[in-house]
Amino acid sequence: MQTAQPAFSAADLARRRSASRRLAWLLAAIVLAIYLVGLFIKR
Amino acid sequence: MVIVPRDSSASRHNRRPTLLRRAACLAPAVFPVAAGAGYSFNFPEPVTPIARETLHIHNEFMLIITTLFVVVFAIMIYSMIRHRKSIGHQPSKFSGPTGALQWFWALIPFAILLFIDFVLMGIPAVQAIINMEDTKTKADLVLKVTGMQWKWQYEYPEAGVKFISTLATPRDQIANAETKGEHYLLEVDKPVVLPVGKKVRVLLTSTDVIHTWWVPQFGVKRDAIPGFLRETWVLIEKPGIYRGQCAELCGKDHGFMPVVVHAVPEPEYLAWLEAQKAEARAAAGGADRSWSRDELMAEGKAVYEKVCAACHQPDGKGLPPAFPALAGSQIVNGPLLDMNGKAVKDSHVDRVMHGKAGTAMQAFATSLSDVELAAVITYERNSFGNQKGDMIQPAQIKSLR
Amino acid sequence: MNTASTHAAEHHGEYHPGGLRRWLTTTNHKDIGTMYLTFSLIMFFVGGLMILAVRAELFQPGLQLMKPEFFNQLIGVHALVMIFAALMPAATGFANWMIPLMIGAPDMALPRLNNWGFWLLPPAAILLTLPFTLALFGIGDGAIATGWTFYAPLSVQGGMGVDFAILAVHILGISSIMGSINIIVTIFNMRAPGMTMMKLPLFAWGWLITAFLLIATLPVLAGAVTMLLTDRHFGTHFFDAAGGGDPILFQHLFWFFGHPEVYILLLPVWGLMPHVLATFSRKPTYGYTAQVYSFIAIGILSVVVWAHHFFTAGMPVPALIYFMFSTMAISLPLAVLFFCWIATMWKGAMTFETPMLFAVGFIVLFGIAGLTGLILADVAADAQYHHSYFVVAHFHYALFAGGIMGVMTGVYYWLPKWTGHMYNETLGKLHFWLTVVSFNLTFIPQFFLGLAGMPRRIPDYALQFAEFNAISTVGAFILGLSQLLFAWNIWSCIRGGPKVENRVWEGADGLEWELSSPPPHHSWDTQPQVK
Repeated sequence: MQTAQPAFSAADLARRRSASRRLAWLLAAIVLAIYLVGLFIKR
Repeated sequence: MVIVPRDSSASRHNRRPTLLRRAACLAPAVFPVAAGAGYSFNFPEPVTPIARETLHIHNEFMLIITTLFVVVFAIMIYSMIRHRKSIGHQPSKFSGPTGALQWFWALIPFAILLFIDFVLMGIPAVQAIINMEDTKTKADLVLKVTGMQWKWQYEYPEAGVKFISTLATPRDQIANAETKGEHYLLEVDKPVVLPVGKKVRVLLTSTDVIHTWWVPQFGVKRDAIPGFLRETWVLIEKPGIYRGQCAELCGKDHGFMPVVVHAVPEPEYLAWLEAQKAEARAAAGGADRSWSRDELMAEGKAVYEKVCAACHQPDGKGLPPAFPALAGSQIVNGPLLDMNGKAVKDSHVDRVMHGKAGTAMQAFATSLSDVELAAVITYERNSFGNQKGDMIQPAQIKSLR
Repeated sequence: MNTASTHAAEHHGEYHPGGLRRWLTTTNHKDIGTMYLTFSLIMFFVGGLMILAVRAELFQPGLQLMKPEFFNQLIGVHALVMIFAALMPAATGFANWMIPLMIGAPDMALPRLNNWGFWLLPPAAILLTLPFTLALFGIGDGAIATGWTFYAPLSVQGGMGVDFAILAVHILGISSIMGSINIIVTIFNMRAPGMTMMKLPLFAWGWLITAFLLIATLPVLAGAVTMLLTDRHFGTHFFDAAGGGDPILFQHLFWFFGHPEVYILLLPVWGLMPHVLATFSRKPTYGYTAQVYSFIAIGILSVVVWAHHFFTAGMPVPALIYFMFSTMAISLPLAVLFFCWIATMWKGAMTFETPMLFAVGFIVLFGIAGLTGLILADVAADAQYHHSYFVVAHFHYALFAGGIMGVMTGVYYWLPKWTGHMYNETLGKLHFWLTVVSFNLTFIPQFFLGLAGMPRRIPDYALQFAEFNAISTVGAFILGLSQLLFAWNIWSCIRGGPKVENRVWEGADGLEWELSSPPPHHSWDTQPQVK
């Protein structure tokens, strides 16, 4: 039996959102780093 | 020659028979194909040790993967027939192996595949690779292959013989204005000649972009890379004519630069080589005398049509912007040489001899003789509406090298 | 698309634009998913038309319809469109629609980034195809004519079509990276309580690995095409031997991206298959853990096998042997997947609605792709297969029978959930059979053409290749026309049809099937209970 609970609480959602933003910027930085490394690879 | 293809696909497939049958009916009218050619299902006949090994490996591997395919999908089809809701089969609830027996059934295929991959397929493959890459052991002669847009240049360095090999199929056949010959697109003006039974070390390079030299019956395919030398080897076991094509997209005429090799008994090869050397001496000698205007124009026209017309077009109008027009061109109508008899930078002579970096215009000094260069330059300056009236002697070209 | 909210009162004061504004500014994962899928379907037909023109030219020997230069443009743009503008957006559309629903999240973690990621696509598609139009007016000499692989030095030589393609690839890459970041972050941070990683639906796992691969390899492609751009216009010599560079460096960089790219195209489909098979076998998914680890193994392996795309370029023997064995190793986790798919079906109670037909067709035909891939890995035999039609057939089995038919499976499976209507089952089955038969008619002859010695990327061929080319062309036209049935079915289903339940399919399991069909505007207003 499923008891309906309210969706993510406001506090929970805020935490998840800021965690998401942080992780997103980290991933973007990794992407940029790989791009720059690629430009300097010589065979 | 108009021959009916052997097998009409319409009988094999009962989907949309009208469309297929219609297409098959068109076939006799539309396919000028020699009888018997057309439905081959495996590599062509191998004539080198590498090709034979490759064919053997291919056949073995095809057997393995066909067996895998049949066994695995027989099991799946069995399940699709027996484990259906419509015949009342009740679904099981398992979601993984339970018990030793089921683990065995789950891991066995994995183990079999491991064996197939790394032992059954892997070990013969390693052997074959080592053989294939062994270009230097006991090589009897060297053939240097240079890929160019869109022809091959062949060189026998030890004999000092060098020539270009271009597609010989007339453009009219390609444009469907003439019936196509038997070796349509696989014929050249000057084939490579190699001795049977001798190991030939093949060196490859290119003057412009990457090309790939491929002769299926030799089992050999190797890239020709500008600025680098690559190697492979062939030992042709049987006399005959062997045909291949460029196998790396290299521009507009990638499909029109075939490879043709005549493999002949060694005495015949040596005689041919001597004849080539004599021809080369005669051509070089030509540079020492003075050529008349008419002689240069005639020779120049021949060179232009064989070497230049593909890009700059027979009428000299080019295909701008990639291939500039020669008719009315500033460069062609510019100065020939400077006061000291040297080439002017970016002038007509400079362009033809040294090419233009970053474009398809290559340095023809490496592939054309003094006579050919002088002739084609003279021809261009006095054709397509250009009326410079001047000419240049092979000896002058020779002094510019 | 009817996603009208059933809780009108709760939305008092929220901004709900209609018409064009809605689509331009939406941050709703379902709307964005719909846009990705619509864009993908349109580009699928665009790419398809291009290749039908190519196959028409290849119907007979001789040049009948076009110049070789134009032919070279068509084949390259066909591939770029199919890979970047059809397959990848379709998979991204699935991810957008289904991942939040599957994990009990209200939306993607970064909804605005989601919108930007989509809207980069139409300009990129225009950039890819614009050079064709410009050439008609005498500006430039057409689109990129180097094949989708852009090899230097040919691509350094090429006209402005190459520059357009480089820019398009950069934009498409940025779009994919944005989508991937969003997917990773959503899966890590937005799962409902109780949804542990090892309860994550396999479709989400498939996309998680895909997203990591995209982030790791797209920047390398971007680097490679940037270096190409500077070689072309700014005097660098990365790929020019005369300047101290190396053309093969380009191939290394390109295929470092290019090989993982094919798994990027396939992993979402491999993630989808267990859902469909379990549903129509009415059995739990077999080997969930094994499949998760297989996805991860394939993802890792895919990054260390790239040189098998250019064995003939000449590399040292140890390198040839290494790349051969590492490539073959991928067959092992792949075999695990096949085993689990069939084991899911085994002793089930199967029915064969259209999604299941496509799933089974996928398993068989993608099996052919995998098996022919195994023999292509063999360096010795590859000397014959490389750059011949054998390879063309192999990768079409992988990317059409694998990728596209996988997408079709997903569309038929989820369309009722998205629209609330059932599609036309008879039409679906007809589409399936026509597709499978004509697909094989198109590509089986190409295996034999490759074995017989026909190279790829040639507009005209020697006479012994004529029969199989003709058959292949006939198959291709039937294949192309059959897809109109697909488009028609989708369109009709959107407009209307028999209403469906939340649980559209009898055997379907998962959070997404607890929501209404179509789901409400705000997907998970109340938190789901994760079992």
